[in-house]
Amino acid sequence: MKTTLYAQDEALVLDYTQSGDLFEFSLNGQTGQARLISVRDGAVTLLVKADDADHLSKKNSSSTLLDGRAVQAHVATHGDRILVAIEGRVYEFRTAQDARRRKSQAGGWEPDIRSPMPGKILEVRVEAGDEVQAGQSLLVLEAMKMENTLLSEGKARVKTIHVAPGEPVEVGQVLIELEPLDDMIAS
Amino acid sequence: MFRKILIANRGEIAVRVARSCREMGIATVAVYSEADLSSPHLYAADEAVCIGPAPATDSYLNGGAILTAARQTGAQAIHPGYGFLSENAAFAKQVHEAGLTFIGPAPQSLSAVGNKIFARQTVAALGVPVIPALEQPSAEPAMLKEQVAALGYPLLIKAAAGGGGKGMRIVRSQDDLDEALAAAQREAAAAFGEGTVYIERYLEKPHHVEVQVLGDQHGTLVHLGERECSIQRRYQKIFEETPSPAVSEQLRDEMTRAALAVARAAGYYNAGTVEFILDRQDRFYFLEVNARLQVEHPITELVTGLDLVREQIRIAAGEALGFGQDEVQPSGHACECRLYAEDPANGFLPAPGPVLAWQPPSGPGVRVDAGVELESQVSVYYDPLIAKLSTWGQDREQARHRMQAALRQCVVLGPITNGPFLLDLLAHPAFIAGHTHTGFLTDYFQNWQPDTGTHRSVAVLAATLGRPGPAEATHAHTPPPSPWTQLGGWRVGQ
Repeated sequence: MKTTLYAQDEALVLDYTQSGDLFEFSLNGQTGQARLISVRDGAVTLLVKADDADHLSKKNSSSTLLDGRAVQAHVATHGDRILVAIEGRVYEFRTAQDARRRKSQAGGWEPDIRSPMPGKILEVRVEAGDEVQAGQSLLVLEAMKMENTLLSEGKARVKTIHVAPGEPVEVGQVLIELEPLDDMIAS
Repeated sequence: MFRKILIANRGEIAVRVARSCREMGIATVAVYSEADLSSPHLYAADEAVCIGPAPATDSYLNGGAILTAARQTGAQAIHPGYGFLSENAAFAKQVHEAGLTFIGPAPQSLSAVGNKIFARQTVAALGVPVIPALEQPSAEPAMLKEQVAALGYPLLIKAAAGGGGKGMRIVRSQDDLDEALAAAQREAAAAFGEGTVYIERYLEKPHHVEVQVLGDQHGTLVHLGERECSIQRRYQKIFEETPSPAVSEQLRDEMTRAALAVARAAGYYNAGTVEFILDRQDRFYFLEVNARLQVEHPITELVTGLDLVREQIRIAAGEALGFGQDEVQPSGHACECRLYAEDPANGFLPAPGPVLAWQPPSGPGVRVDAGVELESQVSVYYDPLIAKLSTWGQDREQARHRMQAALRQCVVLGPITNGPFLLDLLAHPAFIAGHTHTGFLTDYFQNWQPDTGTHRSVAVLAATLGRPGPAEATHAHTPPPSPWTQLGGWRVGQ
């Protein structure tokens, strides 16, 4: 069986076969075996023998018993996000490629400046038509009592400004649209 | 002793204060804003009173509404926690005038230490070193610019009222002064209601070391050792430890003596903290007094065995401290990590949102002070602190290892947190060596990215198996196998 999840823009294709509680899986060329111990309350407990844990015992690899590293993963879903916590690390996947994260063709960066959190616009530092450089500040957002300056990731022309100072904004809202300009040096 | 205390705060500190009250047999009243209906501090107390809408200025900073709640519920004393109204002398005075007790220092001590200029002049007169700075704070840019010419760069701009890093800016050259001043004044005005700022010489890569003091109303005043709080981002601490790896026995003696002199000069009683900057040559300078319980007080509690909230309440009720300096014998080493809903890979921007999974750590020497529960919201309106994890060990290494284990065990899903970042911080060689300073994160973690490789294939498998079943719209045509239907005897959940 195959499942595809997305991390940032990378497609992660999990290919797996299941026989009872035993799983043989491969992910982008990395193979492993796992025995599912339980799934409950968003916690998945697995005994794992994978490429990234190959220092573990090799015996019993084909029996119904599986020696390996016991891993407990906590899983939660939020919209199309799937979040997995394993040993203090958090892995975030999406079930579909995130249209918002499609990178610009020119420089491989995001030309839509979105609000990273709910807040209020304090200051807009550019005007439509302006040419901006990588790292140039575009606007100042106040959220959680702190001022946050949003920067351009690359050389661009300011296409559209959607907000004005004093305006409240929601997370993910497009604030400014940029049009990336070819950078001679980068090519 | 009081029969009922109103806790004028929210989140983890309100939960923590209620805990000590319960132990002492004192009834508690929680106050909450309309945004905090899901916050665990509501049910940590015996009663809960709504004091207004979400913005702090309309609720947790609304002294009138809090006093009304205290009168309605018959509370005899108010514990302000930290932040909000905790260092507001006018509020403390109103509490007294209403015939109630403010659990903290006397209003006149609060005004004395809360005014940074007054504090500085008083302290300098005691012979305690202070950092070169402006003599007068001001909201007038022209006046500020004229005065700073004599100080030299780099400079640090701070809000005259308050702390917590709000309204703070480092200025490295005169070219940046105008923009930094304007931003600092706006932040100060937004956070504290006034745009008055204060400017001082900025010391490069110093340690931030603070001394906890505790005094009763009968003249007994002791210190409870120091805390090292150098690991900061956005001028706010994320990791603290005690004792400080930078402080020798002799230096501790000098610093604690200076701290007690400052507290005594302010007529200080109850719990307070005297903050110092320690430079690379072991010279220390007075920074400010935090006239309240500190966020990081648990580490002092772990090494001294004291309950600081209990002591605060006893002192406010007029009881004698009952012990002297010789009886304070700190043992071992303790550290605290502040688990925040924020994104360390993106400038530590706050990351509010619902908490979808929450499992606090436990084990030998582990303490958790949490302000969230499953399904509660990390709100955009307040500080995005999720929980404080503290560990105790016989020495620094044991405390550090216990913290690593606690962070690995701790589960927070929903908002992005700094948990993975803290794990990497604790494993850094310079950190292990104790070479911390306030520029540490800028020096070593500027372009930090989370490790997403180690268990990735297992994470994808777990995501596939653990996600809610076939109802998931996007994969309706190829439903993932449900372990419930296929695993027979291996079903463990009952």
